[in-house]
Amino acid sequence: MKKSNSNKKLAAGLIAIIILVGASALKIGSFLPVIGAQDTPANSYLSEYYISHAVEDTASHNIVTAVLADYRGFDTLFETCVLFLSGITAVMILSTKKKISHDKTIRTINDNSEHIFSSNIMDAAFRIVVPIILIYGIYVLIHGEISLGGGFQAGALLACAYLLDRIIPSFQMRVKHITDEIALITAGTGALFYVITGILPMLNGGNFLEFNKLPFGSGAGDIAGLHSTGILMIEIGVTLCVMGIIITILEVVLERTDFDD
Amino acid sequence: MTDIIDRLEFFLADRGIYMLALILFAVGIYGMIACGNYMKKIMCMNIMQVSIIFFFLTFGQKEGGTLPIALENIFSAEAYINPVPHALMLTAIVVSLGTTGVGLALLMKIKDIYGTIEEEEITGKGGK
Repeated sequence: MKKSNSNKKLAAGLIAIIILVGASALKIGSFLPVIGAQDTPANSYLSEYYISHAVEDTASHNIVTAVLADYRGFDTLFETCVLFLSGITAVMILSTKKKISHDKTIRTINDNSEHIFSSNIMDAAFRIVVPIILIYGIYVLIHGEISLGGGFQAGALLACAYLLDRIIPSFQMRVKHITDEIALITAGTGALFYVITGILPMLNGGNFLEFNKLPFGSGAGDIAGLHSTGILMIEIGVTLCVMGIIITILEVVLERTDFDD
Repeated sequence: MTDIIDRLEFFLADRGIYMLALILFAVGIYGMIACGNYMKKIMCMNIMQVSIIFFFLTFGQKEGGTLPIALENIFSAEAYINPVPHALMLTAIVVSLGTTGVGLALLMKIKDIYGTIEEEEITGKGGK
């Protein structure tokens, strides 16, 4: 009884502090720009340069991809590495825990609840959705520098397709079960592919990730072709890494979960 | 009275969306401190990250701007919304995925050692 009382006091104090901080933030926040204004600091200097020069510099019509994969390619490389590290960490933390076999996992899913999405029809419908998501993921990947798309989104979509196939119980043939080791190797291959894309221009006398000096394409003047190739290679690396890490985290948790708890 | 309503409408149209980001952030912080269950703490951390992403994305908006996909022959900055916050927050979303994954792995380890993920029971037991 006393414990719940002190909890209530703690909660009240916390709410009071948060309201105070919020009120002061609102008071100070009047310097924040009006939503939708054209001349705010965030919309002025760098962003104007990117918008007006992206197509000419990088031949990428998607300006977000141009910023992400070309202007800030080095930043995205380390972002990918951070993701890869998080996957390795998750595997390392759980590596001492015993795996529960795949068949038993499926059976326990079936024992506990007959259907993941509440009915047989919903389960079947979600299984039909899987190939469509796969096709859409590939589309998003190869449209990275032309229209809406990009590596991170494509990786999430492909991993989502695998996830749906993995968690819905089925007695028919399913996509081959990927272990967390193979998924982690896939992610590492993606990150390595990114680094190799960065090193290739150096063989031709350029800087790291300088797509103008990539050693293929029709000569040095072909900026559009070289930049499209470079961005696409980077997107493939990022896609592999994101897909691998999502599947790794899913598998490493799912393989070791005891559904009897 | 109508004066107050007018000013409120003006405020909501101008900077009202910052309120939403602030409320989400407060909910996240409150949950991270007050919830006793570690799973709920991770979920609250995610809510907080979403509020930060939301806050950054509001900076990118422009009145009358379209998606940052360059159209033929239109290269003026007024025609497109700001691509920089989108590029930055895309990577932030991916990092939040990584932190959630590591958090889940740690959670399973805690469940193994202590047999529970409630903070009160773990501090009451005081170790193995």
